[in-house]
Amino acid sequence: MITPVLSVENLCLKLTADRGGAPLLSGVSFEIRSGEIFGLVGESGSGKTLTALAAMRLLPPAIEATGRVMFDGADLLSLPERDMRKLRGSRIGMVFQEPVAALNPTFTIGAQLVSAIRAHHQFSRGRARDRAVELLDMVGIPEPRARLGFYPHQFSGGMCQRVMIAMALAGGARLLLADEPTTSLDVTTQDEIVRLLEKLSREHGIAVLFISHDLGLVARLCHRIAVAYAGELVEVGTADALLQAPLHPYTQGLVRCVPDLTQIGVLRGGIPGTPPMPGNWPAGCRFQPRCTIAADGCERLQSIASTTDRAVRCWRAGSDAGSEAAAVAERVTS
Amino acid sequence: MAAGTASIWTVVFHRLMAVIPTVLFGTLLIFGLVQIIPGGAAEEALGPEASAQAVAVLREEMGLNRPLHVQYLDWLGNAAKGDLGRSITDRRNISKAITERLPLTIELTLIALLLALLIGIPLGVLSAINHHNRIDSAVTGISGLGLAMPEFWIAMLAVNLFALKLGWFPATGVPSVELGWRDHIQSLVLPSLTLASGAAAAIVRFTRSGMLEALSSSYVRTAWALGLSPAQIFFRFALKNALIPLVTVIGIITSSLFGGAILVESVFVVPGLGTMLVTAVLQKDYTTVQSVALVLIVVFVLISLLVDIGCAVLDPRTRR
Repeated sequence: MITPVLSVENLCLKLTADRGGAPLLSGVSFEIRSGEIFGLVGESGSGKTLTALAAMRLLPPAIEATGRVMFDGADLLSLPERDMRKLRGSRIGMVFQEPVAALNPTFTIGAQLVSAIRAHHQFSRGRARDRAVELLDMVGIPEPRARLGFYPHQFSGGMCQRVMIAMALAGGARLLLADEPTTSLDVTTQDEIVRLLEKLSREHGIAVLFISHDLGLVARLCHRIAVAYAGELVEVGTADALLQAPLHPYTQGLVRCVPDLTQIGVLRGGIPGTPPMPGNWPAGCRFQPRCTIAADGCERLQSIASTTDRAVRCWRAGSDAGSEAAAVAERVTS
Repeated sequence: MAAGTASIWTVVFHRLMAVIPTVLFGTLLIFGLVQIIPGGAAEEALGPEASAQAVAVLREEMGLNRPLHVQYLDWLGNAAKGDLGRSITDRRNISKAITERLPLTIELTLIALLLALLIGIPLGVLSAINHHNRIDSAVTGISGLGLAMPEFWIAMLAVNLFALKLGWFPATGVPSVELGWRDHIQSLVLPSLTLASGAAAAIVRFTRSGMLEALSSSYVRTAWALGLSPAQIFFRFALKNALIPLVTVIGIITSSLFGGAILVESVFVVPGLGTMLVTAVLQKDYTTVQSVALVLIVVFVLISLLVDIGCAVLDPRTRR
């Protein structure tokens, strides 16, 4: 058994008492192994971004976290801020959506890269600049030395995201948290960034947490995938298993929604209803009000062994009723 | 890829070109204002008891009988050469009087601005970093007080307490630097602090809101995620962005400080441009008023030119 790089154990997030104390994330557990690209999929509001921010300890002050986030033998949630700051940008890097906004508009990318490098290395300014050139070259930016003097607004979104990735890896990260890194980019650029992340992970053995709402994209890139719904994980599995044989009715719905370009003109069935708002989660299975196979018993607490290779949070999954209903749903909607 | 970033000097050249029509428009306004004085400038200057003959002499002397465009161009041409004519009340050379008095007003304005910045920016940053706790509330409360109190009132309180009761600073007058810089600076403390109070309060507010916006931005979150030190994030990466809107505000504040200096000068009897303007207005000395107004316009235009250059230096996106 390979020891995981990052191990999230029973992570719970809620608003502080003075903000109403609403729960935002409950009992999230998963592992990311060395060199693995782990996908976290879900709709907006499902808690994907909060999970990554919690691991970075960058949550807004109004949100409190319980549980454990183990990295390098230490629990990140209880680490002193000083030590956490040493990890951020060095062992753990993070890239965000909206790359143009994520870069400081008033500093050249060279100045921003040099700061990121010098935050974790005792480099002279000149040496840090050389390292910045190497990093830009590594993420595929042509003429890197000349580009050091450019401002973010002089770059395209895709180029900004490459710079962002270079900055996140400036300290020699072993784990990269990528929060919807391609969402605001056009499809061809999206593909380039995904390929870049895949290449960096393979060549440098960097583990990646790839957060996205796009199951098709995640399936192409990731080794294993976890599906989040209403603040909890509902299914975990290898990319193949999850796509070929989704167990949870929600995952089945998501898989149905992935566009198939060989069937142009066919409108695919979505998932009826909308996800519940945080704080309004139903008891037991949270997907139950939108589920086609809901039955008596769904109101009971559902559990999931999500640190294993294949797990689902649905007591009916795998049963005859479950697969039959899924098949019916498939026929009805396609 | 977006358009390249132009150099600062291109920006300076373009803004300088834009200054010329602004100043010309200002001169037209000033000239026009003197023309529409009811009853005429000469009659007003001499008062209701003046004989028609005296008025006619003064009109001739002021050149008021010539066609308007000749008067305007003549005035403009002389002003461009630095000759603003003579006062109609005491016959003194206005250009000379202004060059004697302007430096003191500029000095007062600049000292007040410096004080306002030195007080305002650190307090604003402190307030933003401590958002929603006691330090923030205290700073916001004090700056609110500073904004609410009129300058002439603060001036009178300051004279009463620090000059009359405590005797730390002279109440009125400013001895020239040649008589000793210590006395000179000491006499400017109360006027400049008074002048700076409102400006410092405004700068606190604008720095605070600019910093709060920067601190909640995506790029500051990136800076945290990169493991940069809080000092670097606050004072380098966030502050530079917060300063962009602040530079524009500082420009407006400097203009209003210059205007406010006129009031404060009267209270503290500072022999600057302000006292000269007030005296001229009271004596209906239109040529002097006209000249001081012209100087004020040029000063304001220069300040806004500096603001534009400051913005271009700070924000690469405006250098197009």
